[in-house]
Amino acid sequence: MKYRPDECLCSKFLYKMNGNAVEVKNVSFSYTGRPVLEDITFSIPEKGFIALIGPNGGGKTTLLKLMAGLLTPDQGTISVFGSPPKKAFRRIGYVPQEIHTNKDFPITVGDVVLMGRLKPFNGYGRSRKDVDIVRESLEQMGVAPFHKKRIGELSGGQRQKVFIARALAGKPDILFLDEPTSSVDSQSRRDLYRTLKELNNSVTIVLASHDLMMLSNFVKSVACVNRTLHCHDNTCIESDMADTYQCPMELISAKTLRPGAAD
Amino acid sequence: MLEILQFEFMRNALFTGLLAGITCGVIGSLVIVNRIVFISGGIAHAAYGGIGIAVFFGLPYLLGVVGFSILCAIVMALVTLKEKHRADTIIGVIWALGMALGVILLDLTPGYNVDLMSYLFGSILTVPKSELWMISGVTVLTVAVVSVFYLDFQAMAYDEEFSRLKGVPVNFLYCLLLCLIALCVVTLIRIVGLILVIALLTIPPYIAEKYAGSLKTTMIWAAVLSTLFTWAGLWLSYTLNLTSGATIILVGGCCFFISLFTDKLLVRLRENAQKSDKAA
Repeated sequence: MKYRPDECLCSKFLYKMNGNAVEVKNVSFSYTGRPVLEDITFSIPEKGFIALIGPNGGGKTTLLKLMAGLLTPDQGTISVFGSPPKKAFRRIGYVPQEIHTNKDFPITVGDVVLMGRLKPFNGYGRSRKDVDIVRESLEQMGVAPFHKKRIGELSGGQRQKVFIARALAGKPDILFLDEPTSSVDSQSRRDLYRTLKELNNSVTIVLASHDLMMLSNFVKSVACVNRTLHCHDNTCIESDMADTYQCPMELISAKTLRPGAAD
Repeated sequence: MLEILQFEFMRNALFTGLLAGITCGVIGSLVIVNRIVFISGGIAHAAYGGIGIAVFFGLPYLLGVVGFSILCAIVMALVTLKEKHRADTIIGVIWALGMALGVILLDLTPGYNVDLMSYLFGSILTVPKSELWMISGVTVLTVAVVSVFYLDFQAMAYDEEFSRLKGVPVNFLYCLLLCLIALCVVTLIRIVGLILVIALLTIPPYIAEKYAGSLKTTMIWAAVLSTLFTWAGLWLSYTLNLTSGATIILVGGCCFFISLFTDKLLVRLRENAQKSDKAA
């Protein structure tokens, strides 16, 4: 993806003007000819907390990866804090969806989180500051007691927290989380969202998720992603979303039915 | 037992075993955590083509083998990075072609009758001084490069996507790793043979990885185990008058199965202990 300099300057200017953390403009993306996202345009304000919802295969993960700079769009531009995502990588924290890969890897929890401090070509380098930040992130996510354990010994939920701690260790200004609650029980889910809400005081948060019911108490806006995107500035879900954007019905109804009202 | 140390060739062989052990421990650990045993096998076998080229064109042995295997390593690296899903097929093809090229070129070389077996299983007992220097060089180079890029290698092996995000030049490191494997393999072929290289690259780190807490300790334990296997194999081959390379492989293989068996046993014992705890 080539960013023309004038485009780059323009987005820097825009960023200064309106303070949007992310600007996505006319972005399309396809995997081997199959379009996944088409003509997506939206922005996320600084200190925003936005949930991406939508069916599996609807492009949530792809959109997150595009914004994090792991993929480059076929068309359109993305800017994060006024620069292309790949240039803004020091300000980006990313929590992947897949947390079960490499479970048998010989690495401790502390070393996984230290990866968040990674600076290329630094050998064994870890400064006093790095160690402190790692401990801080581990404590923030409540997984400090496990820091000497091998990553494979932890449960799925604990591992998920370690991966969030790893992203936090990079001291990001924006955090992308891909279904961070997929292997967490409902109590820890609530704790996790509470932690994210606290973080949101200083960090912009974008997360892809399925559990809208719980989310709606925490997020500031919701976007439905299914090849195209529809943005909602409040978390009020309208029933026409189901028809227009083919979001699964249970996601929509989950919101309208308040917790407890369902049974 | 100590009388075998009187012979200079034996002292050289033991020293070679130590150097080979260190290199194999470091590179082997990276090979298994990156799951590229197949690629390493491919590089080792394709290197035989380099031997053929060196002999046929009358080039220095090292120039032919090092040049050809690094070429193969880079091709394999590019293929794996570009087309992951077809990579294993292409590596298999390069593996076989390299080997076949070597055999044919040696056939075509007039008056040259090379002993294939010595390349497959090596001859650690006939290592000349000059090659000892070269192996020392490769060992130092390997340890130095891996130390400088340690955290980057670890991040790449553990989570490639995340390390890309952190600005780690994954493609470069991957090529560098395969080149290191090529260098490690070719320097060890004449000494321990290309089959033994693969055995030493995989068995010790496999055992070490289960008990080590980090990649670094895996490397250290794997290096210790490789060295011990080589020494034990040498001693056995001396006392029982067997081929040294094959004996070393068998020692490693036996330890591999012993480790599998003890793991099973430990799990069984732990389960029984838990059951009796519950019963109590």
